[in-house]
Amino acid sequence: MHELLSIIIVPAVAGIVPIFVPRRWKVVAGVYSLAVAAWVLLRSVALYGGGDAAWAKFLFNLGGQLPFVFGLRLYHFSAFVLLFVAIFAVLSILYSIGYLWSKDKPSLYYSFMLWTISAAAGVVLADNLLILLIFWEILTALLFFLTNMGEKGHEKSAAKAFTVLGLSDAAMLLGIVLLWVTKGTLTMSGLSVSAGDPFSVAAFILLFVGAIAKAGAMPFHSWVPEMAVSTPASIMAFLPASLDKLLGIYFLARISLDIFAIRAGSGLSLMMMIVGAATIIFAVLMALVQHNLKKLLSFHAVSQVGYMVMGVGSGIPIAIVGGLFHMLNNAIYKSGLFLGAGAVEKRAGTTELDQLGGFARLMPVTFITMAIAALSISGIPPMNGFASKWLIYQGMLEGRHIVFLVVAIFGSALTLASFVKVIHSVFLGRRPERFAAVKEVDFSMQLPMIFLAILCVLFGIFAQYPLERFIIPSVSGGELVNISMGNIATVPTDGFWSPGAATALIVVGIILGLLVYAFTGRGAYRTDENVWIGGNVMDNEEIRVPGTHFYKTVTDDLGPAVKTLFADGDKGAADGYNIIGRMGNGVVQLLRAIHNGNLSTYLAWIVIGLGILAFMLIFKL
Amino acid sequence: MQGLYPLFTAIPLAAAFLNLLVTKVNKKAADYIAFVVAAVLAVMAVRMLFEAPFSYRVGGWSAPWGILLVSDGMSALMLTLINVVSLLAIVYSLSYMTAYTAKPKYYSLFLLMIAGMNGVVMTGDLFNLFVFLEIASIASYALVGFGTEHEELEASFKYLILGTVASTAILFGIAFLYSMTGTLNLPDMARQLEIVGINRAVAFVIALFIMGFGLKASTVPFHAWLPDAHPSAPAPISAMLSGVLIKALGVYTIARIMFNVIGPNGMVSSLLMFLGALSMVVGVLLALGQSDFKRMLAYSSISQIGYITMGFGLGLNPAVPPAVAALGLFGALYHLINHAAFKSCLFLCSGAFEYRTGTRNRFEMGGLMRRMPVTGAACSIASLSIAGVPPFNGFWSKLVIIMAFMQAGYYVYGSVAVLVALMTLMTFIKLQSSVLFGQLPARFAAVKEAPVAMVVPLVILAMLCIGLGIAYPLFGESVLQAARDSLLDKLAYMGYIIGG
Repeated sequence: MHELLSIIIVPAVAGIVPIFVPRRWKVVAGVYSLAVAAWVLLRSVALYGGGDAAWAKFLFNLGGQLPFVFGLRLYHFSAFVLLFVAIFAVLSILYSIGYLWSKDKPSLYYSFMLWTISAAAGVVLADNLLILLIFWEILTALLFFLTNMGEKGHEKSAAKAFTVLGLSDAAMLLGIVLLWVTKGTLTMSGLSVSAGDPFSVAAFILLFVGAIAKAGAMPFHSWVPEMAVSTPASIMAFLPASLDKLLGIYFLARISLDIFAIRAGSGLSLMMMIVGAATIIFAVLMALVQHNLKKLLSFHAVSQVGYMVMGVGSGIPIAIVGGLFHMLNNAIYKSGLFLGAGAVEKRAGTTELDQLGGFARLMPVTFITMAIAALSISGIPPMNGFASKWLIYQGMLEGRHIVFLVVAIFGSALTLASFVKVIHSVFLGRRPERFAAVKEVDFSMQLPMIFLAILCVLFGIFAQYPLERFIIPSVSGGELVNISMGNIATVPTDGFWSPGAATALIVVGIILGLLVYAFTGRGAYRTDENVWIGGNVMDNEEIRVPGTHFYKTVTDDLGPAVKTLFADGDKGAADGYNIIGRMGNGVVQLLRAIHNGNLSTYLAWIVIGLGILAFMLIFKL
Repeated sequence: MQGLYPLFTAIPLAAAFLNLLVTKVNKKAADYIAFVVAAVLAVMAVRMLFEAPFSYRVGGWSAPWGILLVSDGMSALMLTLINVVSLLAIVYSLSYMTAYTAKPKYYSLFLLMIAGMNGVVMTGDLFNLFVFLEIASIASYALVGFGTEHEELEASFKYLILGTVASTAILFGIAFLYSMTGTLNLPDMARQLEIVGINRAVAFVIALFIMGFGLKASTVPFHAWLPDAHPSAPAPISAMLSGVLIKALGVYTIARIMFNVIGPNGMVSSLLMFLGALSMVVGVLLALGQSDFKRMLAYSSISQIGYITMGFGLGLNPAVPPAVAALGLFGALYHLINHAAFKSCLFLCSGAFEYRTGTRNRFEMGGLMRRMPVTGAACSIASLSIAGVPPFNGFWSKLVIIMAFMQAGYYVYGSVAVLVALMTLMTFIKLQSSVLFGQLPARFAAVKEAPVAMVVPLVILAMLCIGLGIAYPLFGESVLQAARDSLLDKLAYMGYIIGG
């Protein structure tokens, strides 16, 4: 079997085994799946170092006419995405073993995980749009089943995810069929379309919808927050937080830079940047007022996609590099955050921010890793999130897109604001008494979090390395060369910030702060007193003030208009899923009312139908 | 096999009456007779796929006096479909029908229905076709009302009335054609019509046939009987009706007469494409709003038959390039067998759930995946198939149909096909969410997996859904293309009058 094919086939076949493992032995299935994922990782590393490869097999002519070629192609970009797909797979499965230990979940979970790896590899390696679409839709279906393994309310969120993604998959199918009809080929490496005529523009927009829905950008985002609470954190970390981002943005880059060669300053480029900017700002505003940790994180998962879409869509080389780097960074810190949330959930039994507090001492590893990831996502130097956002800012400046620049920076500030709330509400603040006995999670769960936190720091301080190793070769060596600003290899590297000096200063600052803290002691800053109301000393446990209350200012004190806006947003008033659902229901009810079960009505339809048929055939033939 | 060809109707017809006699002595025998007959027929039908086309003169009388039976790619495909699904439905009935009284009568009616459907797809004689069509229809009227409850009898009665109206229209059309061509032999009639041409009388016959056969196939606006009849029947019969009967009596007959006897025609093509698209949209919208599991499936059958009708319409279009027309027809045939696989599977699943939980209201169910994992998995696979999720079979046939319409330049029809595929997906997401996932109601906490005889057919059909999708090279280039070519080659069909 060809090495590219084996990376798809092996996990797919291996995934059959866990079906037959009984529920109570699911740990065995987990370890087995970890081994398979590790094999995939080893192969991906080997492939990454092995240079370009391609494999194609003509399978059959569908209907005697439509050639169906199973074409796979590995080049720098796909090899790098595949590598990170494998890394996240290993981390998620490792984490799942501990996370699912006491939960009543079937071993089938691991089958779905392995099939997900297989389908994701298929998406990344496909050199034929139809093949890509097939794996893409398989991923959607697998997400449906994985989501359905969640807690209470899972069936609604799974249904919503499948519907929204199904809509985007249908759009993609239509786009691909349009390309097939107009261009006669679906081989991605051989397709080059100038998006000028209405057909190409329509095809591009349809494919774009597919890409951003998978990545979770507005207006196709609503499935991500919906599923956040009921879905196991391991799945949130693996699929919506990392894999779907990698694949969605991978596909976006392939279509906008490679197949369609969208130029900077074109209408389509502007459209993508507007989608990106809107996603950044609206999603982060929603995140700001959330009360549930997982839901809050999921809104950030949406918001961050905006940066990538904005960067890649701008068509400006440095912003493209930034967008792709952000794709990687976001996957790292966002899955780290979800894994942390899962750890808290496992120990506390809840992710409601109002009920949590003071976990820093109890779960120090979770605290530190989540704090690092939170700094990263907020774009604080020298973390990786800053490195990639910085490139995007540079690109916006270069293209004179000042409005987009302001939105991007403002979005970043609001992200910080909402993570201050997270860190305070979960880890600092006052600890409710019932959590006194909470312990840190098992090492198998800590390991992925630690690994991701280290990556956050390394990819920030030594940003040059991943950029030169992964990102720039991806966009310059292979396909993505025909963008308007010339070959992207000539990205002005002086636009990159050099983290060395800044990092040193920051480290010095932190050390100074620690020294001050060590010498003055904790007592100098904080004393605990019981609250005294009306002559009674109150129990602090009863009148805890959760960190979320501070953020009520945003919803409650900015005027009634803002308040209704947030309330409606929370209820999903602007959610296309609900709007279309309501409209569709009207039509359905009308049709149902016509089918009244009355035989004479039905006979009348038949007679009228026959009359029209006869008229058409006799007089118009 | 040539000499045995008439046995496809003779065996089930004889067994249907023999069964009633034997069961006077031994009630148990009914199960065995039905099973053996169905198994023999299924084996014979599968072997027919490997036969070269031939025609058979019943009793040695040569056409146009005697009755001609024709075996070509299309007949072989339909025979396989009918008899394989029948076998699975009968295996399923072994357990399922124990809940009903008068099991022998059930099997007799079932066998009569098989005899009728086999006859319809084999015969090369128009009046003979009508007779078999009536045999199958009347058996199905009785089977729909088999539960003899209020609701079932009402559905059966409606089905009877509307079905009879259709049969009358068909008979009327046959009489017209006979008066014009002087023959009832289909190949001969095709020849005579070449001479007569498409005059106004023939045009009226076409209208009668589209209405009559369209009603049997449940094309909108002639569909109103189906949502009552299919859910009311016992589950294996629902599977037969939706999976096979509407195709053998409606879809096949339209295809045979329009392609092989009348020939490609722009107006017929436009009408079929329009009716197909209308059925697709109306059917799926109604399916979305149902709370009854089986009713949802029934409406979705209307929608899926729309795909097939639309594909046939494109195949009949003389204005598009022949290759594109052939692609549309191919997609329709592919979807026809796929629909038989997943819709039968879904109806049998609904029966299994009803058998264990006692309800068909999907909002009363929930979380059954945990209690009935095999049935649940089969239901899930079939749902994904009908929703057009790759790599299952429904995806491929819908893709071919969409592609054919786009290539032909019918962008609106192509987009409607995509949109309806999406709405079908939504329908079956709702179905799965409410039945398989979610909270298990407390009163179903002790529900067990369905009996083996019911589970085996489900598993086979679910595997067919996968196999028809990923093993395309095994059957696509032989079976499906043979069926397509037999419909497109009108000259070859006319040649069958010589007899073999």
